[in-house]
Amino acid sequence: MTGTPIGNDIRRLRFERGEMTQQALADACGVTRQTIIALEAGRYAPSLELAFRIARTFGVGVEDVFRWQD
Amino acid sequence: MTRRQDMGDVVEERRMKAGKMLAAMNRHEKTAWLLLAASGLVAGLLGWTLFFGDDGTETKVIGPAWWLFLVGYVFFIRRDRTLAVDERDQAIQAHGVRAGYAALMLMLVVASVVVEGFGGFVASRTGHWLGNFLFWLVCISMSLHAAVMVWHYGRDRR
Repeated sequence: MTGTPIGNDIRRLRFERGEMTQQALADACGVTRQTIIALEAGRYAPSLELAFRIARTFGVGVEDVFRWQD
Repeated sequence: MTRRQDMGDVVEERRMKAGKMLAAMNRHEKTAWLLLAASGLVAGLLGWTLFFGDDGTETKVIGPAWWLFLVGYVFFIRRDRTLAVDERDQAIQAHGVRAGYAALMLMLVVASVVVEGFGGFVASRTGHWLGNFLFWLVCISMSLHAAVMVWHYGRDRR
Protein backbone atom coordinates (compact mmCIF):
# COMPACT_ATOMS: atom_id res chain seq x y z
CA MET A 1 0.00 0.00 0.00
CA THR A 2 1.35 3.44 -0.88
CA GLY A 3 -1.01 5.37 1.40
CA THR A 4 -2.95 8.42 0.43
CA PRO A 5 -2.51 10.95 -2.41
CA ILE A 6 -2.75 13.77 0.13
CA GLY A 7 0.68 14.97 1.23
CA ASN A 8 1.34 17.23 4.20
CA ASP A 9 3.96 19.38 5.90
CA ILE A 10 2.99 18.57 9.47
CA ARG A 11 6.47 17.47 10.47
CA ARG A 12 8.07 20.67 9.11
CA LEU A 13 5.43 22.87 10.71
CA ARG A 14 5.92 21.15 14.08
CA PHE A 15 9.62 21.83 14.02
CA GLU A 16 9.14 25.40 12.90
CA ARG A 17 6.96 25.94 15.95
CA GLY A 18 9.52 25.21 18.60
CA GLU A 19 9.83 21.49 17.93
CA MET A 20 6.28 20.81 19.00
CA THR A 21 5.91 17.15 19.93
CA GLN A 22 3.53 14.78 18.20
CA GLN A 23 1.72 14.31 21.51
CA ALA A 24 1.26 18.08 21.93
CA LEU A 25 -0.20 18.37 18.44
CA ALA A 26 -2.40 15.34 19.05
CA ASP A 27 -3.72 16.84 22.30
CA ALA A 28 -4.38 20.18 20.59
CA CYS A 29 -6.36 18.47 17.82
CA GLY A 30 -8.17 15.89 19.97
CA VAL A 31 -6.67 12.78 18.40
CA THR A 32 -4.16 10.15 19.46
CA ARG A 33 -0.40 10.41 18.85
CA GLN A 34 -0.66 7.34 16.61
CA THR A 35 -2.98 9.27 14.28
CA ILE A 36 -0.42 12.07 13.96
CA ILE A 37 2.27 9.46 13.22
CA ALA A 38 0.05 7.91 10.51
CA LEU A 39 -0.66 11.37 9.05
CA GLU A 40 3.01 12.33 8.92
CA ALA A 41 3.85 9.01 7.28
CA GLY A 42 1.20 9.67 4.62
CA ARG A 43 -0.72 6.56 5.65
CA TYR A 44 -3.94 8.29 6.59
CA ALA A 45 -6.04 11.01 4.94
CA PRO A 46 -7.70 13.15 7.62
CA SER A 47 -11.31 14.30 7.60
CA LEU A 48 -11.96 17.91 6.64
CA GLU A 49 -12.63 18.71 10.29
CA LEU A 50 -9.29 17.30 11.46
CA ALA A 51 -7.47 19.04 8.61
CA PHE A 52 -8.91 22.38 9.76
CA ARG A 53 -8.07 21.60 13.39
CA ILE A 54 -4.44 20.91 12.49
CA ALA A 55 -4.20 24.04 10.34
CA ARG A 56 -5.72 26.18 13.11
CA THR A 57 -3.28 24.74 15.63
CA PHE A 58 -0.41 25.92 13.42
CA GLY A 59 -2.18 29.21 12.66
CA VAL A 60 -2.09 28.68 8.90
CA GLY A 61 -4.54 27.76 6.15
CA VAL A 62 -5.42 24.18 5.24
CA GLU A 63 -3.64 24.49 1.90
CA ASP A 64 -0.42 25.41 3.74
CA VAL A 65 -0.52 22.07 5.56
CA PHE A 66 -2.05 19.69 3.02
CA ARG A 67 -1.55 19.35 -0.71
CA TRP A 68 -2.66 16.98 -3.46
CA GLN A 69 0.17 14.81 -4.77
CA ASP A 70 -0.12 13.72 -8.42
CA MET B 1 31.35 -14.68 21.71
CA THR B 2 29.76 -18.06 22.29
CA ARG B 3 26.71 -19.37 20.48
CA ARG B 4 24.78 -19.19 23.76
CA GLN B 5 25.63 -15.50 24.19
CA ASP B 6 24.55 -14.85 20.59
CA MET B 7 21.21 -16.49 21.28
CA GLY B 8 20.83 -14.42 24.44
CA ASP B 9 21.50 -11.22 22.49
CA VAL B 10 18.94 -12.17 19.86
CA VAL B 11 16.33 -12.92 22.53
CA GLU B 12 17.09 -9.63 24.32
CA GLU B 13 16.87 -7.70 21.03
CA ARG B 14 13.51 -9.30 20.20
CA ARG B 15 12.22 -8.53 23.69
CA MET B 16 13.22 -4.88 23.28
CA LYS B 17 11.57 -4.76 19.84
CA ALA B 18 8.35 -6.24 21.25
CA GLY B 19 8.45 -3.73 24.13
CA LYS B 20 8.89 -0.82 21.72
CA MET B 21 6.06 -2.10 19.54
CA LEU B 22 3.77 -2.43 22.55
CA ALA B 23 4.64 1.09 23.68
CA ALA B 24 3.86 2.43 20.18
CA MET B 25 0.34 0.98 20.24
CA ASN B 26 -2.63 2.95 21.46
CA ARG B 27 -5.25 1.38 23.68
CA HIS B 28 -7.56 0.49 20.79
CA GLU B 29 -4.83 -1.40 18.98
CA LYS B 30 -4.04 -3.37 22.13
CA THR B 31 -7.75 -4.14 22.51
CA ALA B 32 -7.86 -5.34 18.89
CA TRP B 33 -4.95 -7.71 19.57
CA LEU B 34 -6.68 -8.96 22.70
CA LEU B 35 -9.93 -9.54 20.79
CA LEU B 36 -8.03 -11.37 18.06
CA ALA B 37 -6.32 -13.63 20.60
CA ALA B 38 -9.50 -14.32 22.58
CA SER B 39 -11.87 -14.88 19.66
CA GLY B 40 -9.25 -16.84 17.71
CA LEU B 41 -8.64 -19.12 20.67
CA VAL B 42 -12.36 -19.65 21.28
CA ALA B 43 -12.97 -20.29 17.56
CA GLY B 44 -10.12 -22.81 17.44
CA LEU B 45 -11.15 -24.67 20.58
CA LEU B 46 -14.84 -24.69 19.73
CA GLY B 47 -14.13 -25.82 16.16
CA TRP B 48 -11.98 -28.65 17.45
CA THR B 49 -14.65 -29.69 19.96
CA LEU B 50 -17.42 -29.54 17.36
CA PHE B 51 -15.74 -31.57 14.64
CA PHE B 52 -13.09 -33.68 16.39
CA GLY B 53 -14.09 -33.79 20.06
CA ASP B 54 -15.64 -36.88 21.59
CA ASP B 55 -18.50 -34.97 23.20
CA GLY B 56 -18.88 -32.35 20.48
CA THR B 57 -22.55 -33.14 20.10
CA GLU B 58 -23.42 -32.53 23.74
CA THR B 59 -21.12 -29.71 24.85
CA LYS B 60 -23.22 -26.88 26.22
CA VAL B 61 -20.99 -23.94 25.37
CA ILE B 62 -23.41 -21.22 24.34
CA GLY B 63 -24.75 -20.23 27.75
CA PRO B 64 -21.40 -19.77 29.52
CA ALA B 65 -19.81 -18.33 26.37
CA TRP B 66 -22.42 -15.59 26.00
CA TRP B 67 -22.12 -14.71 29.69
CA LEU B 68 -18.34 -14.53 29.31
CA PHE B 69 -18.75 -12.39 26.22
CA LEU B 70 -21.19 -10.05 27.99
CA VAL B 71 -19.00 -9.67 31.08
CA GLY B 72 -15.91 -9.06 28.92
CA TYR B 73 -17.75 -6.52 26.79
CA VAL B 74 -19.07 -4.58 29.80
CA PHE B 75 -15.59 -4.69 31.37
CA PHE B 76 -13.99 -3.16 28.26
CA ILE B 77 -16.72 -0.58 27.74
CA ARG B 78 -16.39 0.56 31.36
CA ARG B 79 -12.62 0.75 31.12
CA ASP B 80 -12.74 2.54 27.76
CA ARG B 81 -15.25 5.13 28.88
CA THR B 82 -12.59 7.77 29.52
CA LEU B 83 -10.69 7.01 26.36
CA ALA B 84 -11.40 9.20 23.35
CA VAL B 85 -11.90 7.33 20.09
CA ASP B 86 -10.50 9.44 17.32
CA GLU B 87 -11.57 9.38 13.69
CA ARG B 88 -8.82 6.98 12.57
CA ASP B 89 -9.82 4.47 15.26
CA GLN B 90 -13.44 4.79 14.13
CA ALA B 91 -12.45 4.28 10.49
CA ILE B 92 -10.42 1.18 11.40
CA GLN B 93 -13.27 -0.17 13.53
CA ALA B 94 -15.62 0.34 10.57
CA HIS B 95 -13.27 -1.66 8.30
CA GLY B 96 -13.24 -4.46 10.88
CA VAL B 97 -17.02 -4.50 11.32
CA ARG B 98 -17.57 -4.58 7.55
CA ALA B 99 -15.18 -7.51 7.14
CA GLY B 100 -16.71 -9.36 10.10
CA TYR B 101 -20.30 -9.01 8.86
CA ALA B 102 -19.34 -9.92 5.30
CA ALA B 103 -17.56 -13.06 6.55
CA LEU B 104 -20.52 -14.03 8.73
CA MET B 105 -22.96 -13.62 5.84
CA LEU B 106 -20.72 -15.61 3.51
CA MET B 107 -20.26 -18.42 6.04
CA LEU B 108 -24.03 -18.64 6.65
CA VAL B 109 -24.72 -18.81 2.92
CA VAL B 110 -22.02 -21.43 2.37
CA ALA B 111 -23.19 -23.45 5.40
CA SER B 112 -26.81 -23.38 4.22
CA VAL B 113 -25.74 -24.65 0.77
CA VAL B 114 -23.27 -27.25 2.03
CA VAL B 115 -25.65 -28.59 4.69
CA GLU B 116 -27.89 -30.09 1.99
CA GLY B 117 -25.18 -32.62 1.17
CA PHE B 118 -24.76 -33.59 4.83
CA GLY B 119 -28.35 -34.21 5.83
CA GLY B 120 -27.52 -37.39 7.77
CA PHE B 121 -24.68 -35.76 9.68
CA VAL B 122 -26.79 -32.74 10.67
CA ALA B 123 -29.78 -34.90 11.63
CA SER B 124 -27.56 -36.88 14.01
CA ARG B 125 -26.50 -33.71 15.88
CA THR B 126 -28.32 -32.26 18.87
CA GLY B 127 -29.77 -28.78 19.19
CA HIS B 128 -26.79 -27.85 21.38
CA TRP B 129 -24.39 -28.83 18.61
CA LEU B 130 -26.22 -26.64 16.08
CA GLY B 131 -26.29 -23.73 18.54
CA ASN B 132 -22.58 -24.15 19.18
CA PHE B 133 -21.96 -24.28 15.44
CA LEU B 134 -23.66 -20.91 14.97
CA PHE B 135 -21.69 -19.48 17.89
CA TRP B 136 -18.53 -20.83 16.24
CA LEU B 137 -19.37 -18.88 13.07
CA VAL B 138 -19.82 -15.72 15.17
CA CYS B 139 -16.41 -16.33 16.79
CA ILE B 140 -14.76 -16.73 13.38
CA SER B 141 -16.33 -13.49 12.14
CA MET B 142 -15.15 -11.71 15.31
CA SER B 143 -11.65 -13.06 14.74
CA LEU B 144 -11.69 -11.71 11.20
CA HIS B 145 -13.03 -8.37 12.47
CA ALA B 146 -10.11 -8.15 14.94
CA ALA B 147 -7.56 -9.36 12.36
CA VAL B 148 -8.59 -6.65 9.90
CA MET B 149 -8.27 -4.00 12.64
CA VAL B 150 -4.82 -5.29 13.64
CA TRP B 151 -3.74 -5.32 9.99
CA HIS B 152 -4.86 -1.68 9.50
CA TYR B 153 -3.10 -0.53 12.67
CA GLY B 154 0.06 -2.36 11.64
CA ARG B 155 -0.04 -0.90 8.11
CA ASP B 156 -0.41 2.65 9.47
CA ARG B 157 2.66 2.18 11.67
CA ARG B 158 4.96 0.82 8.92
